[in-house]
Amino acid sequence: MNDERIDFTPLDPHRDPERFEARVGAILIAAKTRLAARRTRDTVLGQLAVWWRPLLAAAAIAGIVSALTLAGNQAPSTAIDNELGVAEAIGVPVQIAQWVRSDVTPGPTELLAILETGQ
Amino acid sequence: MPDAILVERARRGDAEAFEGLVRRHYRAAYGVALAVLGNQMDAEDVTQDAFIRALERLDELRQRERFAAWLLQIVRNRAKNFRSYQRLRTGPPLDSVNPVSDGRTDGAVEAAELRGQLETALADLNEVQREVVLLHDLTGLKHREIADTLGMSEGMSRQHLFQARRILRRRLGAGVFEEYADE
Repeated sequence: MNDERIDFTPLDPHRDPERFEARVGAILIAAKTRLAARRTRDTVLGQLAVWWRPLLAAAAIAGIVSALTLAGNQAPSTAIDNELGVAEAIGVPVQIAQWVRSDVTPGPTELLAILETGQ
Repeated sequence: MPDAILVERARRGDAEAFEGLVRRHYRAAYGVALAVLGNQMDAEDVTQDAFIRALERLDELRQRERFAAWLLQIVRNRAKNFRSYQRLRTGPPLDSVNPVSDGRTDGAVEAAELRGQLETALADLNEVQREVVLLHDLTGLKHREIADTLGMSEGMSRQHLFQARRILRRRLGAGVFEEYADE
């Protein structure tokens, strides 16, 4: 094996200390904002900042679920509307169907008026 | 302080730890970049770029004690990308148009001439030979470390070093050799 090492001193970046320091300095300046971001990431507020997007997404999902639940609770009134629609379809006046579903007792005059008009 | 500790601190944003890694591994990183690119200016730019890239990707490094090999792999990739980009450009590089600028001292001129001779001689080697000889003779890496970095066996590393030195000796003459024991 050839044991003669080649003298690469002219290519050694440490040969010119001023130039070497300038290059290291340039790297550290370029790295400054990235290092600062890493320091921030390690704090509590930083963690919140990192997690704000997932938290926002979770909140949005919770909002959608709540809205769907509320919509589900309002379904009975829709069912009532549907039943009134069915009564109307088979020829029962709407007002009579409403009286049947409620506790209100119509007077004879009202009943006759509805039967006459058929509404 | 071991690399693994410096890496962990740099990962948490410790500027001094990152500076320590830069100072410790600059020569090796520069050597790899120089081997791929063949000139000082481009090698310096790519070395700087690779350190920043390494900092950005530090969380991906699982085996922190292997920082050096990981960094040199980043340098190699960045240098090859840079070279591909350079090939798309037209015209000679600025260094070859004006290799020695006016106003330099005699020492600086001599150093630039020696550097130019070495860079020209290195251009006669293939890329792997350049990487091996620069990592070994400029950076001081052992064959085991070179093999790990370049993904080859220690035997191949020795063989490439032997070939590289033989070609450089023929190209440069005896003036640039020093007597060292090989590891």
